[in-house]
Amino acid sequence: MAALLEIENLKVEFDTWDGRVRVLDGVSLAVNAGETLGIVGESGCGKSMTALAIMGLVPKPAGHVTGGSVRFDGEDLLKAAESRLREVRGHRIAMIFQEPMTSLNPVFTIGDQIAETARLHLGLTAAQARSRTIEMLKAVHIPEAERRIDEYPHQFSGGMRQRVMIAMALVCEPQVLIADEPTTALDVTVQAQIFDLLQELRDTRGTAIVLITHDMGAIAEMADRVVVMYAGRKAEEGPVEAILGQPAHPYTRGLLACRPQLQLGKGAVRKALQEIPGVVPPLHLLGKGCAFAERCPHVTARCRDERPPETGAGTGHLASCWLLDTTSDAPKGRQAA
Amino acid sequence: MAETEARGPWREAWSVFKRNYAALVGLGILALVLTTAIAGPWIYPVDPFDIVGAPKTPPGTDADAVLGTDYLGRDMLAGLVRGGRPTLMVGFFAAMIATVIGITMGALGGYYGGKVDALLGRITEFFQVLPALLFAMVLVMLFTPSLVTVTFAIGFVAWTSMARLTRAEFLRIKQLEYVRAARAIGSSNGRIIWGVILPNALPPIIVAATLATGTAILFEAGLSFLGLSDPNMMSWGMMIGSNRNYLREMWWAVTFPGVCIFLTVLAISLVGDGLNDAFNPRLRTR
Repeated sequence: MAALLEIENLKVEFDTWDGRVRVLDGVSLAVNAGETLGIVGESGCGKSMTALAIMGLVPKPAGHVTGGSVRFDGEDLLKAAESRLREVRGHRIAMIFQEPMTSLNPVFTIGDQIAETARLHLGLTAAQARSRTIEMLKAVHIPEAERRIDEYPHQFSGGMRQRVMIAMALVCEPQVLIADEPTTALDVTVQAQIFDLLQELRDTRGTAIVLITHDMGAIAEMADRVVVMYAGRKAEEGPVEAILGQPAHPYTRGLLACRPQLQLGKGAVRKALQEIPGVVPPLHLLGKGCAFAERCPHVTARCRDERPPETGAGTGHLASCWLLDTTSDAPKGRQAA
Repeated sequence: MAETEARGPWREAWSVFKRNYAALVGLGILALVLTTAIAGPWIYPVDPFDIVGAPKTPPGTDADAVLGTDYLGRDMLAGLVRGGRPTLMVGFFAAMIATVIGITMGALGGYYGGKVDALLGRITEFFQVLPALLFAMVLVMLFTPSLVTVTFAIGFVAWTSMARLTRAEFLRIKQLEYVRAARAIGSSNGRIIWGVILPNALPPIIVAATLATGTAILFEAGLSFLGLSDPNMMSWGMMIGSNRNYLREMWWAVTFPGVCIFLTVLAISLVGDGLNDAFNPRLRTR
């Protein structure tokens, strides 16, 4: 069965002062209705670029999509006309952004902004759009929706603004919701509320969610499946239990080890926080081998010369690493556990 | 459109503006000038081209012409009362033309960037390096001097700074998250330019447009002084221009219209400054 949103072998390049740089290199992933796919990785690994490429919003003129396909409901969005993309954006595929403080237009009321989307895509009259907007504000649990609909963004707190953004994204009942670090700018308690809200909406409406984050905690809480990205490439992909429980790629293991542990009391030792040595290499300096080779504790000569293929079969747990035995069914990390 | 929909921020700006006494004084003078320009001809129905007394009558000596007469014996007060209307009209409409051209050039260049920006930028620079008054004179002389040609000529030479300002605002605002968000909900380019970015770029543009009105009035006065104005319309600049040869004998004939122009432009500047403070939250703490 074809997935609702299927990205295959996506390649995006950017013109920079150092020449043309490949920021996405053969990324493939898929999301089904009612499923949450987590995309994790460090800053600059291509998470947000993947989201923008899905929406057809790769910044021009510097960025170019040079290959692959983005199939949504069977239609290749990369080949679609701009006018078709405008119909899809906000209507079928919606997006919420990292910064709720700046993602709303300060000179219009939040009601106007949510209603704008509804009128644009659903052809509602002003009155219909308004009642639909109130309905949405209630759905995202904004108290006194009838009054607050006429307020301006600066009258809302960060968490409330993110709710407004979610209401705006969901007003046309999109099939896919891309959440680009939706809680990074928010308090921990508010984060939990936003995640609850997203889960509720996914369960009641069957929306497919693509959750982009660098927070493994958010992944553990929200995601059904996870894609780990590194330097514009997919490092590992699999069900959330497998990724968190038996990570196969050294980079995923590194990411998990970096998390601070919340254990106090008897027997708890405060260990120094682990880190992955080095930084993501500049993309134009990537060699022909594995992108993670320079920082990997298990690096071999082969890693520097040849790019590892995706390994693992059947279970949906895939990783790109030479350490994994290419003849076995599952990645090595899984067996080792 | 934005003014009515975006009541909140605008109302807030007004409350700041209200506390600025200089700006309120400016607004008061401007209101007085506007009222005179609109209602004056009914209140003081003397034709400024009629000869009402002896030429070069000093002010306060003739009850029929309290502010005296010019070199032909025409009533000074009638001229001042009637002269406001063409002056303000030229100033206002020329500033509007300049603003419309400037916003369009700046918005398109700033938003689309690349070749569009390069082309529009070159055009803007071309107009910018032309000596403005000379260019306006040429335009007015090419066509017959009339209120309309003078207005267009001034509007045509005065838009470049507006274009640069708008372009800069667009370059800044188009990077902001809410513009990305607008694109992500499927808004078209036109909708983003006029409906999303422009309302946010308006405050500095309004300030600049206000100040441009003052500049346009000075331009009009300058053109009239040089004799390039509608000969059938008594304007303040024209009064100065036609009496300039008799400056040493009759100070009043140039001083009164000069003071009118000065006060009007000053009032507009004060209002512009007040608007600038009102729209610029960073300056509010002064």
